[in-house]
Amino acid sequence: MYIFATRFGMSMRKGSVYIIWAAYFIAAAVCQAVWGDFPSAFFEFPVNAAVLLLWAVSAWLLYREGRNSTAAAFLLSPHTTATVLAVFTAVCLIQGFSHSRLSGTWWFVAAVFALLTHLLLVLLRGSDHRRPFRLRFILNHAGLLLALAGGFFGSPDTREWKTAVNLAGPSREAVDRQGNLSSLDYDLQLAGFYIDTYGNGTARSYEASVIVDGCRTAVLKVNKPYRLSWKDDLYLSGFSPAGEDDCDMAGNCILQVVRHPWKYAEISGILMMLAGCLLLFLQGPAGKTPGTGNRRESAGKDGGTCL
Amino acid sequence: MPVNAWEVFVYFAAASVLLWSAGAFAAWKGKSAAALWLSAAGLVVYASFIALLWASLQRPPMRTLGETRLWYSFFMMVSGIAVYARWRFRWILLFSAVLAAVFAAMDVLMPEIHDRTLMPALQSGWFVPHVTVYMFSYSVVGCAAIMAAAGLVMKTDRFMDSADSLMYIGTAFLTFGMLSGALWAKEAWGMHWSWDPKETWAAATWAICLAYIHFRLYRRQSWKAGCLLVILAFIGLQMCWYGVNLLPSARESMHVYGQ
Repeated sequence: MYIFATRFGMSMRKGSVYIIWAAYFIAAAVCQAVWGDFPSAFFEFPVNAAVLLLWAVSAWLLYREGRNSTAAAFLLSPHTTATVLAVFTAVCLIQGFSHSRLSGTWWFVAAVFALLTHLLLVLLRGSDHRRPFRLRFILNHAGLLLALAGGFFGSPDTREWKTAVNLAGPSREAVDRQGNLSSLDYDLQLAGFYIDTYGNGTARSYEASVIVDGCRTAVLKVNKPYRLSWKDDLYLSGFSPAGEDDCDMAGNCILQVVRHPWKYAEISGILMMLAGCLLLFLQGPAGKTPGTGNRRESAGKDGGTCL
Repeated sequence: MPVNAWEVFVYFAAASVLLWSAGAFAAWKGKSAAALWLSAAGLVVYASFIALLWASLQRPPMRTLGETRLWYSFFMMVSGIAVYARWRFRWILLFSAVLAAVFAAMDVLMPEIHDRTLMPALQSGWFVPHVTVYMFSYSVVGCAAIMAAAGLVMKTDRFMDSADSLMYIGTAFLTFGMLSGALWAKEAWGMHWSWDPKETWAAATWAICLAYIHFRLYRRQSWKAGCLLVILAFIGLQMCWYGVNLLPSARESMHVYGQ
Protein backbone atom coordinates (compact mmCIF):
# COMPACT_ATOMS: atom_id res chain seq x y z
CA MET A 1 0.00 0.00 0.00
CA TYR A 2 1.27 3.46 -0.87
CA ILE A 3 1.04 5.37 2.36
CA PHE A 4 2.02 8.85 1.34
CA ALA A 5 2.27 10.84 -1.83
CA THR A 6 3.81 14.26 -1.73
CA ARG A 7 2.61 17.27 -3.63
CA PHE A 8 5.40 16.67 -6.13
CA GLY A 9 3.69 13.56 -7.36
CA MET A 10 6.10 10.94 -6.13
CA SER A 11 5.41 8.17 -3.70
CA MET A 12 7.24 5.62 -1.65
CA ARG A 13 6.19 2.57 0.27
CA LYS A 14 6.01 2.97 4.06
CA GLY A 15 7.88 -0.32 4.51
CA SER A 16 10.68 0.83 2.19
CA VAL A 17 11.29 3.93 4.31
CA TYR A 18 11.68 1.89 7.48
CA ILE A 19 13.88 -0.71 5.73
CA ILE A 20 16.25 1.98 4.44
CA TRP A 21 16.49 3.59 7.87
CA ALA A 22 17.02 0.22 9.51
CA ALA A 23 19.87 -0.50 7.06
CA TYR A 24 21.37 2.94 7.83
CA PHE A 25 21.39 2.34 11.58
CA ILE A 26 22.64 -1.23 11.21
CA ALA A 27 25.54 0.16 9.14
CA ALA A 28 26.27 2.61 11.98
CA ALA A 29 26.20 -0.25 14.50
CA VAL A 30 28.60 -2.26 12.30
CA CYS A 31 30.99 0.72 12.11
CA GLN A 32 30.83 0.95 15.91
CA ALA A 33 31.64 -2.75 16.26
CA VAL A 34 34.51 -2.62 13.76
CA TRP A 35 36.18 0.73 14.53
CA GLY A 36 34.98 1.65 18.01
CA ASP A 37 33.89 5.23 18.75
CA PHE A 38 33.45 7.84 16.04
CA PRO A 39 36.79 9.51 15.16
CA SER A 40 35.65 13.03 16.03
CA ALA A 41 39.24 14.36 16.24
CA PHE A 42 39.51 13.91 12.46
CA PHE A 43 36.68 16.43 12.01
CA GLU A 44 38.40 19.36 13.70
CA PHE A 45 38.29 22.72 11.91
CA PRO A 46 38.49 23.17 8.93
CA VAL A 47 37.30 19.63 8.10
CA ASN A 48 34.03 20.07 10.03
CA ALA A 49 33.34 23.41 8.31
CA ALA A 50 33.96 21.82 4.89
CA VAL A 51 31.68 18.87 5.72
CA LEU A 52 29.00 21.28 6.99
CA LEU A 53 29.18 23.31 3.77
CA LEU A 54 29.11 20.20 1.57
CA TRP A 55 26.15 18.78 3.51
CA ALA A 56 24.13 22.00 3.42
CA VAL A 57 24.78 22.58 -0.30
CA SER A 58 23.91 18.93 -1.12
CA ALA A 59 20.63 19.20 0.78
CA TRP A 60 19.81 22.48 -0.94
CA LEU A 61 20.62 21.01 -4.39
CA LEU A 62 18.57 17.91 -3.62
CA TYR A 63 15.62 20.09 -2.69
CA ARG A 64 16.04 22.55 -5.60
CA GLU A 65 16.94 20.16 -8.41
CA GLY A 66 15.79 16.76 -7.22
CA ARG A 67 12.58 17.44 -5.36
CA ASN A 68 10.77 14.87 -7.50
CA SER A 69 13.37 12.22 -6.77
CA THR A 70 12.88 9.18 -4.58
CA ALA A 71 15.67 10.42 -2.31
CA ALA A 72 13.79 13.65 -1.57
CA ALA A 73 10.54 11.73 -1.04
CA PHE A 74 12.31 9.42 1.36
CA LEU A 75 14.02 12.16 3.36
CA LEU A 76 10.91 14.35 3.53
CA SER A 77 8.47 11.58 4.40
CA PRO A 78 6.44 11.72 7.63
CA HIS A 79 7.77 8.22 8.30
CA THR A 80 11.25 9.69 8.32
CA THR A 81 10.01 12.23 10.89
CA ALA A 82 8.66 9.32 12.95
CA THR A 83 11.88 7.32 12.54
CA VAL A 84 14.32 10.09 13.45
CA LEU A 85 12.25 11.14 16.47
CA ALA A 86 11.86 7.53 17.61
CA VAL A 87 15.57 6.78 17.19
CA PHE A 88 16.57 10.01 18.94
CA THR A 89 14.23 9.15 21.84
CA ALA A 90 15.61 5.59 21.94
CA VAL A 91 19.20 6.88 22.07
CA CYS A 92 18.25 9.20 24.94
CA LEU A 93 16.47 6.39 26.79
CA ILE A 94 19.39 3.98 26.43
CA GLN A 95 21.77 6.65 27.69
CA GLY A 96 19.29 7.65 30.40
CA PHE A 97 19.04 4.13 31.79
CA SER A 98 22.72 3.26 31.56
CA HIS A 99 26.09 4.63 32.59
CA SER A 100 27.26 4.65 28.97
CA ARG A 101 28.04 7.89 27.16
CA LEU A 102 26.67 7.38 23.67
CA SER A 103 27.48 10.83 22.32
CA GLY A 104 30.77 9.61 20.82
CA THR A 105 29.38 6.48 19.19
CA TRP A 106 28.73 5.91 15.49
CA TRP A 107 25.05 5.32 15.96
CA PHE A 108 24.56 8.46 18.05
CA VAL A 109 26.32 10.40 15.29
CA ALA A 110 24.14 8.59 12.70
CA ALA A 111 20.96 9.44 14.63
CA VAL A 112 21.82 13.13 15.00
CA PHE A 113 23.00 13.39 11.38
CA ALA A 114 19.71 11.84 10.17
CA LEU A 115 17.73 14.24 12.35
CA LEU A 116 19.72 17.24 11.07
CA THR A 117 19.31 16.22 7.41
CA HIS A 118 15.57 15.71 7.82
CA LEU A 119 15.26 19.03 9.67
CA LEU A 120 17.15 20.92 6.97
CA LEU A 121 15.03 19.50 4.14
CA VAL A 122 11.76 20.04 6.03
CA LEU A 123 12.89 23.61 6.72
CA LEU A 124 13.69 24.21 3.04
CA ARG A 125 10.30 22.85 2.02
CA GLY A 126 8.41 24.69 4.76
CA SER A 127 10.07 28.03 4.02
CA ASP A 128 9.22 27.69 0.35
CA HIS A 129 5.43 27.54 0.69
CA ARG A 130 2.59 29.48 2.18
CA ARG A 131 1.51 27.78 5.36
CA PRO A 132 -0.24 28.53 8.63
CA PHE A 133 2.06 29.72 11.43
CA ARG A 134 5.02 30.07 9.05
CA LEU A 135 7.10 32.23 11.39
CA ARG A 136 6.62 29.75 14.24
CA PHE A 137 7.56 26.87 11.96
CA ILE A 138 10.74 28.62 10.81
CA LEU A 139 11.80 29.73 14.30
CA ASN A 140 11.34 26.28 15.82
CA HIS A 141 12.86 24.26 13.02
CA ALA A 142 15.69 26.66 12.10
CA GLY A 143 16.45 27.22 15.78
CA LEU A 144 16.71 23.52 16.49
CA LEU A 145 18.78 23.04 13.34
CA LEU A 146 21.24 25.79 14.32
CA ALA A 147 21.56 24.66 17.93
CA LEU A 148 21.97 20.99 17.01
CA ALA A 149 24.31 21.66 14.08
CA GLY A 150 26.42 23.99 16.24
CA GLY A 151 26.78 21.26 18.87
CA PHE A 152 27.26 18.46 16.35
CA PHE A 153 29.73 20.03 13.92
CA GLY A 154 31.36 22.15 16.62
CA SER A 155 31.97 19.27 18.99
CA PRO A 156 35.47 18.38 17.60
CA ASP A 157 36.62 22.00 18.21
CA THR A 158 35.33 22.15 21.78
CA ARG A 159 37.96 21.90 24.51
CA GLU A 160 37.99 22.05 28.29
CA TRP A 161 40.97 22.44 30.58
CA LYS A 162 41.18 22.61 34.33
CA THR A 163 43.98 24.35 36.13
CA ALA A 164 44.83 25.17 39.74
CA VAL A 165 46.05 28.72 40.37
CA ASN A 166 47.46 30.26 43.53
CA LEU A 167 49.16 33.39 44.84
CA ALA A 168 52.67 32.00 44.34
CA GLY A 169 52.99 32.83 40.65
CA PRO A 170 51.50 32.57 37.16
CA SER A 171 50.80 29.20 35.65
CA ARG A 172 49.99 27.83 32.19
CA GLU A 173 49.76 24.15 33.02
CA ALA A 174 46.34 22.56 32.70
CA VAL A 175 44.71 19.16 32.38
CA ASP A 176 42.25 18.45 29.57
CA ARG A 177 39.09 16.30 29.75
CA GLN A 178 41.08 13.15 28.96
CA GLY A 179 43.53 13.86 31.78
CA ASN A 180 46.39 14.94 29.49
CA LEU A 181 48.71 17.71 30.65
CA SER A 182 48.78 20.67 28.27
CA SER A 183 49.82 24.29 28.11
CA LEU A 184 47.22 27.07 28.05
CA ASP A 185 47.39 30.12 25.77
CA TYR A 186 47.18 32.33 28.87
CA ASP A 187 49.22 32.94 32.04
CA LEU A 188 46.86 32.75 35.02
CA GLN A 189 47.63 33.85 38.55
CA LEU A 190 45.39 34.17 41.61
CA ALA A 191 45.31 37.73 42.97
CA GLY A 192 42.66 37.36 45.65
CA PHE A 193 39.88 35.13 46.93
CA TYR A 194 36.81 36.04 48.96
CA ILE A 195 34.25 33.71 50.48
CA ASP A 196 30.97 34.34 52.29
CA THR A 197 29.60 31.48 54.38
CA TYR A 198 26.36 30.52 56.10
CA GLY A 199 26.26 29.99 59.85
CA ASN A 200 26.91 26.26 59.42
CA GLY A 201 30.09 26.91 57.46
CA THR A 202 28.85 26.05 53.98
CA ALA A 203 29.70 28.47 51.20
CA ARG A 204 27.06 31.06 50.32
CA SER A 205 29.17 32.60 47.57
CA TYR A 206 32.81 32.99 46.65
CA GLU A 207 34.79 34.93 44.12
CA ALA A 208 38.34 35.00 42.83
CA SER A 209 40.42 37.74 41.23
CA VAL A 210 42.71 36.27 38.61
CA ILE A 211 45.44 38.08 36.68
CA VAL A 212 45.45 37.05 33.02
CA ASP A 213 48.74 37.42 31.12
CA GLY A 214 50.04 39.76 33.79
CA CYS A 215 47.86 42.66 32.66
CA ARG A 216 44.11 41.90 32.81
CA THR A 217 42.23 41.20 36.05
CA ALA A 218 39.31 38.80 35.81
CA VAL A 219 36.78 38.70 38.65
CA LEU A 220 35.22 35.23 38.68
CA LYS A 221 32.18 33.89 40.51
CA VAL A 222 30.12 30.75 40.08
CA ASN A 223 27.70 31.48 37.20
CA LYS A 224 29.80 34.50 36.21
CA PRO A 225 32.52 33.46 33.74
CA TYR A 226 35.10 35.80 32.25
CA ARG A 227 35.50 36.21 28.48
CA LEU A 228 39.12 35.56 27.56
CA SER A 229 38.60 35.81 23.80
CA TRP A 230 35.84 35.27 21.22
CA LYS A 231 36.20 31.52 21.63
CA ASP A 232 37.57 31.07 25.17
CA ASP A 233 35.88 31.65 28.54
CA LEU A 234 37.27 31.31 32.05
CA TYR A 235 35.19 29.74 34.84
CA LEU A 236 35.64 29.45 38.60
CA SER A 237 35.18 25.75 39.22
CA GLY A 238 36.09 25.38 42.91
CA PHE A 239 38.68 26.06 45.58
CA SER A 240 40.61 24.39 48.34
CA PRO A 241 40.99 26.34 51.62
CA ALA A 242 44.49 27.35 52.60
CA GLY A 243 44.12 25.79 56.03
CA GLU A 244 41.84 25.11 58.98
CA ASP A 245 42.34 28.59 60.43
CA ASP A 246 42.23 30.40 57.16
CA CYS A 247 38.92 29.44 55.61
CA ASP A 248 38.38 32.78 53.93
CA MET A 249 41.50 32.37 51.83
CA ALA A 250 42.02 29.76 49.14
CA GLY A 251 45.17 27.71 48.83
CA ASN A 252 44.29 26.90 45.24
CA CYS A 253 41.47 28.01 43.00
CA ILE A 254 40.35 25.54 40.39
CA LEU A 255 39.71 27.33 37.11
CA GLN A 256 38.22 25.95 33.96
CA VAL A 257 39.07 27.25 30.50
CA VAL A 258 36.44 26.40 27.89
CA ARG A 259 37.14 26.77 24.17
CA HIS A 260 33.79 26.78 22.42
CA PRO A 261 34.04 28.57 19.07
CA TRP A 262 30.69 27.30 17.78
CA LYS A 263 28.75 28.65 20.76
CA TYR A 264 27.36 31.54 18.70
CA ALA A 265 25.47 29.14 16.42
CA GLU A 266 24.12 27.32 19.48
CA ILE A 267 23.05 30.55 21.22
CA SER A 268 21.39 31.86 18.03
CA GLY A 269 19.49 28.57 17.71
CA ILE A 270 18.44 28.64 21.36
CA LEU A 271 17.17 32.24 21.08
CA MET A 272 15.20 31.37 17.93
CA MET A 273 13.66 28.37 19.67
CA LEU A 274 12.75 30.52 22.68
CA ALA A 275 10.84 32.84 20.35
CA GLY A 276 9.35 29.78 18.61
CA CYS A 277 8.14 28.23 21.87
CA LEU A 278 6.53 31.54 22.83
CA LEU A 279 4.57 31.40 19.56
CA LEU A 280 3.78 27.73 20.19
CA PHE A 281 2.22 28.77 23.51
CA LEU A 282 0.36 31.78 22.08
CA GLN A 283 -0.92 30.16 18.88
CA GLY A 284 -1.67 26.69 20.19
CA PRO A 285 -2.48 23.60 18.13
CA ALA A 286 -2.07 24.05 14.41
CA GLY A 287 -3.29 22.25 11.35
CA LYS A 288 -6.91 21.77 12.36
CA THR A 289 -10.05 23.81 12.18
CA PRO A 290 -10.89 24.85 15.75
CA GLY A 291 -13.72 22.85 17.22
CA THR A 292 -14.02 20.29 14.44
CA GLY A 293 -10.92 18.20 14.91
CA ASN A 294 -10.39 18.21 11.13
CA ARG A 295 -7.16 19.32 9.53
CA ARG A 296 -7.16 22.45 7.46
CA GLU A 297 -6.67 21.85 3.76
CA SER A 298 -3.88 24.39 3.56
CA ALA A 299 -1.88 22.55 6.22
CA GLY A 300 -2.39 19.15 4.67
CA LYS A 301 -1.55 20.00 1.09
CA ASP A 302 2.15 20.57 1.35
CA GLY A 303 2.52 17.76 3.80
CA GLY A 304 4.55 20.04 6.06
CA THR A 305 4.60 20.17 9.81
CA CYS A 306 3.17 23.18 11.61
CA LEU A 307 5.19 23.05 14.76
CA MET B 1 7.02 34.44 61.53
CA PRO B 2 8.13 30.90 62.41
CA VAL B 3 11.78 30.00 61.90
CA ASN B 4 10.77 26.84 60.09
CA ALA B 5 7.66 27.47 58.04
CA TRP B 6 7.37 23.72 57.34
CA GLU B 7 6.01 23.29 60.87
CA VAL B 8 2.76 25.01 59.86
CA PHE B 9 2.56 23.48 56.38
CA VAL B 10 0.08 20.83 57.47
CA TYR B 11 -2.52 23.51 58.34
CA PHE B 12 -2.14 25.34 55.06
CA ALA B 13 -2.21 22.03 53.14
CA ALA B 14 -5.33 20.83 54.98
CA ALA B 15 -7.17 24.11 54.32
CA SER B 16 -6.15 24.10 50.66
CA VAL B 17 -7.13 20.47 50.09
CA LEU B 18 -10.46 21.09 51.80
CA LEU B 19 -11.20 24.06 49.53
CA TRP B 20 -10.03 22.16 46.43
CA SER B 21 -12.26 19.19 47.36
CA ALA B 22 -15.23 21.52 47.82
CA GLY B 23 -14.43 23.08 44.44
CA ALA B 24 -14.24 19.66 42.79
CA PHE B 25 -17.58 18.69 44.37
CA ALA B 26 -19.19 21.91 43.13
CA ALA B 27 -17.82 21.27 39.63
CA TRP B 28 -19.20 17.73 39.70
CA LYS B 29 -22.61 19.18 40.63
CA GLY B 30 -22.38 21.67 37.74
CA LYS B 31 -21.94 24.78 39.91
CA SER B 32 -19.19 26.37 37.85
CA ALA B 33 -18.85 29.71 39.62
CA ALA B 34 -18.65 28.09 43.06
CA ALA B 35 -16.16 25.54 41.74
CA LEU B 36 -13.86 28.22 40.38
CA TRP B 37 -14.06 30.44 43.47
CA LEU B 38 -13.47 27.59 45.92
CA SER B 39 -10.55 26.18 43.94
CA ALA B 40 -9.03 29.63 43.54
CA ALA B 41 -9.40 30.24 47.29
CA GLY B 42 -7.52 26.98 47.96
CA LEU B 43 -4.83 28.15 45.59
CA VAL B 44 -4.49 31.47 47.43
CA VAL B 45 -4.06 29.63 50.75
CA TYR B 46 -1.44 27.34 49.21
CA ALA B 47 0.34 30.28 47.55
CA SER B 48 0.41 32.06 50.92
CA PHE B 49 2.37 29.17 52.39
CA ILE B 50 4.84 29.24 49.50
CA ALA B 51 5.31 32.99 50.05
CA LEU B 52 5.77 32.39 53.80
CA LEU B 53 8.31 29.65 53.15
CA TRP B 54 10.17 31.82 50.65
CA ALA B 55 10.39 34.61 53.25
CA SER B 56 11.45 32.28 56.08
CA LEU B 57 14.12 30.50 54.02
CA GLN B 58 15.39 33.79 52.58
CA ARG B 59 15.84 32.04 49.24
CA PRO B 60 13.48 30.66 46.56
CA PRO B 61 11.97 27.37 47.85
CA MET B 62 12.99 25.34 44.81
CA ARG B 63 16.08 23.49 45.87
CA THR B 64 14.93 20.22 47.35
CA LEU B 65 12.57 17.60 45.97
CA GLY B 66 10.10 18.48 48.76
CA GLU B 67 10.16 22.12 47.68
CA THR B 68 9.57 21.27 44.02
CA ARG B 69 6.58 19.12 45.09
CA LEU B 70 5.06 22.28 46.55
CA TRP B 71 5.25 23.94 43.16
CA TYR B 72 3.89 20.87 41.41
CA SER B 73 0.75 20.84 43.61
CA PHE B 74 0.36 24.56 43.07
CA PHE B 75 0.69 24.42 39.27
CA MET B 76 -1.42 21.25 39.08
CA MET B 77 -4.33 23.24 40.50
CA VAL B 78 -3.51 26.26 38.29
CA SER B 79 -3.69 23.95 35.25
CA GLY B 80 -6.83 22.20 36.52
CA ILE B 81 -8.63 25.50 37.11
CA ALA B 82 -7.52 26.82 33.69
CA VAL B 83 -8.74 23.66 31.94
CA TYR B 84 -12.04 23.76 33.83
CA ALA B 85 -12.53 27.46 33.08
CA ARG B 86 -11.86 26.82 29.38
CA TRP B 87 -13.59 23.46 28.71
CA ARG B 88 -15.84 22.84 31.73
CA PHE B 89 -14.97 19.16 32.10
CA ARG B 90 -16.68 18.54 35.43
CA TRP B 91 -14.22 15.83 36.52
CA ILE B 92 -10.96 17.66 35.83
CA LEU B 93 -10.94 19.58 39.14
CA LEU B 94 -11.42 16.33 41.03
CA PHE B 95 -8.45 14.69 39.29
CA SER B 96 -6.16 17.71 39.62
CA ALA B 97 -7.20 18.15 43.29
CA VAL B 98 -6.39 14.48 44.01
CA LEU B 99 -2.97 14.78 42.33
CA ALA B 100 -2.21 18.08 44.10
CA ALA B 101 -3.34 16.59 47.44
CA VAL B 102 -1.12 13.52 46.95
CA PHE B 103 1.97 15.68 46.43
CA ALA B 104 1.03 17.96 49.35
CA ALA B 105 0.54 14.87 51.53
CA MET B 106 3.97 13.58 50.53
CA ASP B 107 5.46 16.83 51.81
CA VAL B 108 3.56 16.44 55.10
CA LEU B 109 4.49 12.77 55.57
CA MET B 110 8.05 12.87 54.28
CA PRO B 111 9.71 15.99 55.67
CA GLU B 112 13.16 16.28 54.14
CA ILE B 113 16.11 18.57 54.40
CA HIS B 114 14.65 21.99 55.02
CA ASP B 115 17.60 24.28 55.50
CA ARG B 116 18.18 27.83 54.37
CA THR B 117 21.40 27.26 52.48
CA LEU B 118 21.52 27.78 48.76
CA MET B 119 24.73 26.67 47.14
CA PRO B 120 26.53 29.14 44.87
CA ALA B 121 25.69 27.16 41.71
CA LEU B 122 21.98 27.82 42.31
CA GLN B 123 22.44 31.56 42.82
CA SER B 124 21.53 32.62 39.34
CA GLY B 125 18.83 34.67 37.69
CA TRP B 126 17.88 31.52 35.80
CA PHE B 127 17.03 29.55 38.96
CA VAL B 128 13.45 30.75 39.53
CA PRO B 129 12.24 30.83 35.89
CA HIS B 130 13.91 27.49 35.08
CA VAL B 131 12.34 25.60 37.98
CA THR B 132 8.89 27.22 37.98
CA VAL B 133 8.48 26.87 34.21
CA TYR B 134 9.47 23.20 34.43
CA MET B 135 7.05 22.56 37.28
CA PHE B 136 4.28 24.32 35.37
CA SER B 137 4.96 22.22 32.25
CA TYR B 138 4.97 19.04 34.40
CA SER B 139 1.53 19.91 35.74
CA VAL B 140 0.10 20.85 32.33
CA VAL B 141 1.34 17.60 30.80
CA GLY B 142 -0.08 15.88 33.92
CA CYS B 143 -3.50 17.35 33.04
CA ALA B 144 -3.09 16.22 29.42
CA ALA B 145 -2.27 12.71 30.70
CA ILE B 146 -5.48 12.75 32.77
CA MET B 147 -7.39 13.66 29.57
CA ALA B 148 -5.65 10.92 27.60
CA ALA B 149 -6.31 8.31 30.29
CA ALA B 150 -9.96 9.40 30.49
CA GLY B 151 -10.23 9.07 26.71
CA LEU B 152 -8.78 5.55 26.78
CA VAL B 153 -11.01 4.46 29.68
CA MET B 154 -14.18 5.97 28.19
CA LYS B 155 -13.17 4.85 24.68
CA THR B 156 -13.77 8.30 23.21
CA ASP B 157 -11.65 10.83 21.34
CA ARG B 158 -13.65 13.83 22.55
CA PHE B 159 -10.89 14.89 24.97
CA MET B 160 -8.24 14.97 22.28
CA ASP B 161 -8.74 18.64 21.36
CA SER B 162 -8.11 19.66 24.96
CA ALA B 163 -5.21 17.20 25.21
CA ASP B 164 -3.75 18.83 22.07
CA SER B 165 -4.03 22.31 23.57
CA LEU B 166 -2.50 21.18 26.85
CA MET B 167 0.33 19.36 25.11
CA TYR B 168 1.16 22.46 23.04
CA ILE B 169 1.25 24.57 26.20
CA GLY B 170 3.20 21.88 28.08
CA THR B 171 5.69 21.47 25.24
CA ALA B 172 6.15 25.24 24.93
CA PHE B 173 6.95 25.52 28.65
CA LEU B 174 9.07 22.38 28.59
CA THR B 175 11.06 23.88 25.72
CA PHE B 176 11.50 27.13 27.63
CA GLY B 177 12.60 25.20 30.72
CA MET B 178 15.10 23.16 28.75
CA LEU B 179 16.53 26.12 26.85
CA SER B 180 16.77 28.32 29.94
CA GLY B 181 18.60 25.39 31.55
CA ALA B 182 20.97 25.26 28.57
CA LEU B 183 21.75 28.98 28.83
CA TRP B 184 22.28 28.63 32.58
CA ALA B 185 24.49 25.57 32.08
CA LYS B 186 26.71 27.61 29.75
CA GLU B 187 27.17 30.23 32.49
CA ALA B 188 27.76 27.67 35.21
CA TRP B 189 29.62 24.78 33.57
CA GLY B 190 30.82 26.08 30.22
CA MET B 191 28.60 23.99 27.94
CA HIS B 192 24.99 24.36 26.88
CA TRP B 193 24.49 20.62 26.91
CA SER B 194 26.60 17.82 28.37
CA TRP B 195 24.30 14.74 28.29
CA ASP B 196 24.05 14.71 32.06
CA PRO B 197 21.43 12.07 33.16
CA LYS B 198 18.86 14.80 33.93
CA GLU B 199 19.49 16.48 30.59
CA THR B 200 19.25 13.16 28.78
CA TRP B 201 15.85 12.43 30.32
CA ALA B 202 14.70 15.98 29.56
CA ALA B 203 15.70 15.46 25.90
CA ALA B 204 13.89 12.09 25.76
CA THR B 205 10.71 13.60 27.22
CA TRP B 206 10.90 16.58 24.90
CA ALA B 207 11.32 14.25 21.91
CA ILE B 208 8.19 12.32 22.99
CA CYS B 209 6.23 15.60 23.19
CA LEU B 210 7.45 16.54 19.71
CA ALA B 211 6.53 13.06 18.47
CA TYR B 212 3.00 13.58 19.84
CA ILE B 213 2.60 16.96 18.13
CA HIS B 214 3.86 15.62 14.78
CA PHE B 215 1.82 12.44 15.15
CA ARG B 216 -1.36 14.46 15.68
CA LEU B 217 -0.62 16.52 12.57
CA TYR B 218 -0.33 13.45 10.35
CA ARG B 219 -2.45 10.76 11.99
CA ARG B 220 -5.35 12.45 13.78
CA GLN B 221 -7.52 9.41 13.33
CA SER B 222 -5.19 7.20 15.46
CA TRP B 223 -6.21 8.94 18.66
CA LYS B 224 -5.48 5.93 20.91
CA ALA B 225 -1.81 5.98 19.90
CA GLY B 226 -1.87 9.73 20.60
CA CYS B 227 -3.21 9.06 24.11
CA LEU B 228 -0.43 6.55 24.72
CA LEU B 229 2.18 9.11 23.62
CA VAL B 230 0.77 11.65 26.12
CA ILE B 231 0.95 9.08 28.91
CA LEU B 232 4.49 8.18 27.82
CA ALA B 233 5.44 11.88 27.95
CA PHE B 234 3.99 12.08 31.47
CA ILE B 235 6.04 9.05 32.56
CA GLY B 236 9.12 10.67 30.97
CA LEU B 237 8.50 13.80 33.02
CA GLN B 238 8.29 11.81 36.25
CA MET B 239 11.62 10.18 35.38
CA CYS B 240 13.08 13.58 34.60
CA TRP B 241 11.84 15.09 37.86
CA TYR B 242 12.62 12.45 40.49
CA GLY B 243 12.87 9.01 38.80
CA VAL B 244 16.35 9.81 37.52
CA ASN B 245 17.55 10.09 41.15
CA LEU B 246 16.83 6.38 41.60
CA LEU B 247 19.06 5.32 38.71
CA PRO B 248 22.75 4.45 39.19
CA SER B 249 23.67 7.05 36.56
CA ALA B 250 22.34 9.80 38.89
CA ARG B 251 25.55 9.51 40.92
CA GLU B 252 27.36 11.22 38.02
CA SER B 253 24.74 13.93 37.66
CA MET B 254 25.64 17.58 38.07
CA HIS B 255 22.00 18.27 38.94
CA VAL B 256 22.08 16.84 42.46
CA TYR B 257 21.51 19.70 44.88
CA GLY B 258 19.96 17.85 47.78
CA GLN B 259 16.87 15.70 47.92
